[in-house]
Amino acid sequence: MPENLQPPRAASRILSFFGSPHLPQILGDLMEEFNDRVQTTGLSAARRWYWRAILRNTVALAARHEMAGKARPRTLFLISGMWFSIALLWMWLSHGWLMGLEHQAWGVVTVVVFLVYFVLVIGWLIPLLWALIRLVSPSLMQGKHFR
Amino acid sequence: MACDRLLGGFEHLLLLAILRLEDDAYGATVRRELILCADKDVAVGAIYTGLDRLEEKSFVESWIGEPTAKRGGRGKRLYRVTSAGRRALADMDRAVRQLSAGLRPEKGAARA
Repeated sequence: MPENLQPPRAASRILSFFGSPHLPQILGDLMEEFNDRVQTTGLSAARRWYWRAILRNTVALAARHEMAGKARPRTLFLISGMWFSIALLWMWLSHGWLMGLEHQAWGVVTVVVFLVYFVLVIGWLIPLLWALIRLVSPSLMQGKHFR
Repeated sequence: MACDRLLGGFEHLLLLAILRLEDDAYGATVRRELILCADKDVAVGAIYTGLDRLEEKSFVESWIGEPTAKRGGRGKRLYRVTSAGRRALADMDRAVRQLSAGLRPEKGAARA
């Protein structure tokens, strides 16, 4: 097993997106713990932990207003988009909201909600999808995570 | 109380963790110490926020260590408790001891 492994880059990019003053230290600390966890729990579990740690840190930093002035609205945008999209997906799946398209009023509401959803979600969905593709397709990971 | 700036609960824990770690106190080790000794699983970003507050109050000082490969070439930000921080801790300990003298909160009764 190689001595040092790279944590998921897409996850690191999410945190880099916010520009916290302690970003290098936070990423360094997370990478250190990621490497320790690879030795004890294995690569897959360490990657899952890294994703959770990034999301926790994003929320923690946003909640404590730790971002630089320009980054703060982006953080709130990303966090609200994440929760809004999860809530909408749950509603669509559990209450059959798409059935509303049969009626004009519900159709307009659904289209507007979907547009808002799309704008809010785009900031975090792309890196998440990319990370999922890399997890599902091991060939894409060859040479990417090993230094 | 001798110190005019009070410690918050989280700041108190951070100062104690840094003291325990001596010369190896940085985000990841402080987080580990909080998990092991205080059963508090805190995001490392929140720890740096708390450490910033302590540094503003001059209770800790920090410096950047050498970059290491294990950290992706990033340096650690190491922390040390200052004499003002030690005084604040002593004041806090004294206040807690005086306020809790004779109390048995675990029994639900105000006084022993």
